Amino acid sequence: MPPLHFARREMAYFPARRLTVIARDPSVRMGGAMVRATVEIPNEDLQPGPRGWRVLVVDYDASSRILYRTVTAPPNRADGPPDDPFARASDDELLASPGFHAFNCYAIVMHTLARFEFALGRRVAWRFPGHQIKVAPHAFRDANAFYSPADEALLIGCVRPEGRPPVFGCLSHDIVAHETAHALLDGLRERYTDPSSPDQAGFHEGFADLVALLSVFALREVVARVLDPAADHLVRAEAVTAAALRQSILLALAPEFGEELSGIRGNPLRRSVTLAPEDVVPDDPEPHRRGEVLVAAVMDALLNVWVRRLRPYIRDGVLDRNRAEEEGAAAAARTLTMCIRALDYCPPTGLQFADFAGAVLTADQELHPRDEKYLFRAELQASFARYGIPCRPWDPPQEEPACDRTHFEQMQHDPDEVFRFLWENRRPLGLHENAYTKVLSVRPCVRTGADGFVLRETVAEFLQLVRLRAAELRTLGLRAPDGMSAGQEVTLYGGNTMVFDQFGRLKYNIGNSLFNAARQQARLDYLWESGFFERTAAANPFAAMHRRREMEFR
Amino acid sequence: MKPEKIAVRVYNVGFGDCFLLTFHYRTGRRRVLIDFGSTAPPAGDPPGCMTRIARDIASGGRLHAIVATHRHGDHISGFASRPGKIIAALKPEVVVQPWTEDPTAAPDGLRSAGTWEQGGEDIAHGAAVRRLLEIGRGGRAVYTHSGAPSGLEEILPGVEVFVLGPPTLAQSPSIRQERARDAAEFWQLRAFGESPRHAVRAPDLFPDAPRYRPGDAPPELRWFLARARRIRSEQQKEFVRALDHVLNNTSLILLFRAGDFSLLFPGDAQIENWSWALGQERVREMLRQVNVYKVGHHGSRNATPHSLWNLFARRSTDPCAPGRLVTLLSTRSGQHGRRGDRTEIPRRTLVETLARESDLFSTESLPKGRPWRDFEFMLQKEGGCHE
Repeated sequence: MPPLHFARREMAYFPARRLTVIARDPSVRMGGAMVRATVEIPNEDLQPGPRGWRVLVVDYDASSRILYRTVTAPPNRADGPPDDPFARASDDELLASPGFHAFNCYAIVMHTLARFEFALGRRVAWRFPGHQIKVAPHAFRDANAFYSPADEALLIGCVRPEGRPPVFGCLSHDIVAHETAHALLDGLRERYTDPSSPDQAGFHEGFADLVALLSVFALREVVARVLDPAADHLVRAEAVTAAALRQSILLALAPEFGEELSGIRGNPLRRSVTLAPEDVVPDDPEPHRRGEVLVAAVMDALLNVWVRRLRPYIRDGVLDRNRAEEEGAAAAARTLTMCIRALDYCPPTGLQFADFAGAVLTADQELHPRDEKYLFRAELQASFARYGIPCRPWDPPQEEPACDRTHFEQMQHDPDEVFRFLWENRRPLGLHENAYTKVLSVRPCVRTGADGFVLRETVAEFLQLVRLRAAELRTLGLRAPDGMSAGQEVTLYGGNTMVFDQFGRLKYNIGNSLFNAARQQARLDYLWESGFFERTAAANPFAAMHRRREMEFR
Repeated sequence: MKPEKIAVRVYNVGFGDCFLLTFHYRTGRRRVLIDFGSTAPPAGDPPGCMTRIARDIASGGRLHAIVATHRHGDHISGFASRPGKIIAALKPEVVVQPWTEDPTAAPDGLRSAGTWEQGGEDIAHGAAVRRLLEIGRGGRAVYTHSGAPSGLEEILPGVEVFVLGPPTLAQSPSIRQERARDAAEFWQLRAFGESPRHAVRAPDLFPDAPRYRPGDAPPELRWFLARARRIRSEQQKEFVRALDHVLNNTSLILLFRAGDFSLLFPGDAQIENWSWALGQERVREMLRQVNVYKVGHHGSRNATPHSLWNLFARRSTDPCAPGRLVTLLSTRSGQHGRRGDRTEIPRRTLVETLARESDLFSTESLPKGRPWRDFEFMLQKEGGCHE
């Protein structure tokens, strides 16, 4: 028998790519130079554009009708990451290069996607049928940027104030991350754009703001800028109190520059660090202000965790700068992961902030049963409570559903099998038997805790929908709002997120039942009050939502 | 020289505004037309209501000035076509409009924005706007804003005309929000208004960057390019509509004061426009003394803010109270909004309040065949008397 010969296999290319991005936006500077960061993203064989397997950058400016040719990515190597084409470019070169703008967008979208996939332990699909999202970094001349599901795209505008250099939305980390977060959230929870409550309307914006802010804070270069930039390797203890950090975040990251961009992103950063719990209007019906409450609560917890982590390192009134930066960026990254992970524990319809808060705690508890190092859950719970968001982890289901007629192996990926499970258990699970019921998704996921333990779960979501005339609402214990005609058709939504453990047992059954009269009534009353039954839905809810924020005349 | 009498002729134009103010001096009369538009003629009227009104105005002799409070059809539609020609032939000396209409305004800068003078018919009453421009060129066009001169000083001696609104971009952050856009593109909307198909293209962002030749885009990108162009075109239309919509916030608010008698003409100004004026104590003091209030925006629910109404010191529930506030409402029910959701124009609760606390006249109370009603205010006596 001839000896076996194995061909020596070489790695096709290094698994990671490092790219220069502008850390927040070109206005944030240190020592006169733009603050840059290097982000590491999964590597791939890129086409010019850059065009990869999840993201296609198309540099087409519809306002001038010019399609720019973009630079080709440097070739991949087996022994290390490919060259970063802009690592050595000057600030002026970066600002003036459409190629850099394209790579900046590509890197931030991929980085945000990678954060979601890391947190959720699986691939995260876009909502639309295509696999690649199109990103237009200079889509039009307008202070707007939005995610358009119908066009499978993120469209980012720029403005050219007279006599001043152009202001590019695509160079703002939070704008690109914010829009990417909208797209990813829409992929994960397609019913969150339905009209439901101020909380649900505010959640899309608030969550996208959270992702954007935390992505920026998770960059060490940004944290370095926030901490006293004049200090060398030691930071004064007075500079790392919660109040001092709020102040320096404002000074460092929210300068009165780029007012042109305020239309695109509002000013979530400023609001999030200045909105005090006593300023929160309970049950504020305005979605943007509701969204700000969520952001402020999470940012408050983050700052407290950061300060607590730094306290033991203070000696003689100073602490090591590297340590302070590291802890800040790590706390932000951890908070971001917690928030994203929580999505799997959120109900598929009718989201309230209390649901999200409960989901954050439950998801984190599953993965980190002990909350020792950061005391994150304790801080978040306290902070949510301060901002008027009730917060407690989910309880396991009270009744054990039958699973002897379903195959768990099949249930991990097959919506029909999940539906069979639902049908078999429609009574113990409290479903409306005559509602239209649809399994929206089934997703197996694997997560690794900081302690090395692996958590395997299957997350399935279903939707229930009934359409009733106002006069029929009483069959569900509801009353039609005053003035609604008896023939007015009303759609009610219910549905749950079911989390199964690795043995196929239902661990959590989180949702919003069609029979929950209090919640359904609140939604109905809110929609009636806000004039929903008078209006037709906007063609693109994201473009319209951003536009409303910009105009403020309603 | 001071006027001895001020007459206000309130024309019934259906849903719209048209007021002719005549200031009687010992030496002669000065006439000012405030708005000339309608979007729904009075119920049962034969066609040609605006032409008949134009002829009536012309039969009265010289017209000295025109005030067009803002570019909405119900305020300026009459300036288009035949009735507009009749008015133009009167050769008014001054045309007063809000600063947003200034065609020479620089596209940037906080004081001025300029809308689009060549605005197409489908966008913003192009023919009427062109006529106003033409009349202004023949005489003097004044584009004014809160705190600036009205341009009526020479025409109306002895009358102070205060411009209380609209605020400029610098004054009002909510209007400034509207301008947070590309100055160059904003300006191009004027051309865009001429023909959406021939919109001027924005300048190249990166003149030195390599690009595809027009028409040479790779096949795999063409789908997206077509999508991007469609989105752009929708955005532009939306932008034009949005600014048009917000024009109620850029409506002129004029306060005429002769001696201690004052008349307030706020066009369609809504809360955002008012908030700038109401924030100033000096203005609030003037508003307290108002004798005649032209009810804003045909009696809609958000054009007579409570904070304004409560200021008027001459309100009274006693119908015989001397010098009681006079309110003039030009409107037509059933055109806009719905009572069910409290958006109907005129808003029922507002009309009830006006009727209870002032001498209310509504054009809807005019019998068929009576196209106007006159009010006369003698200025000799304190407070004046009417009709």
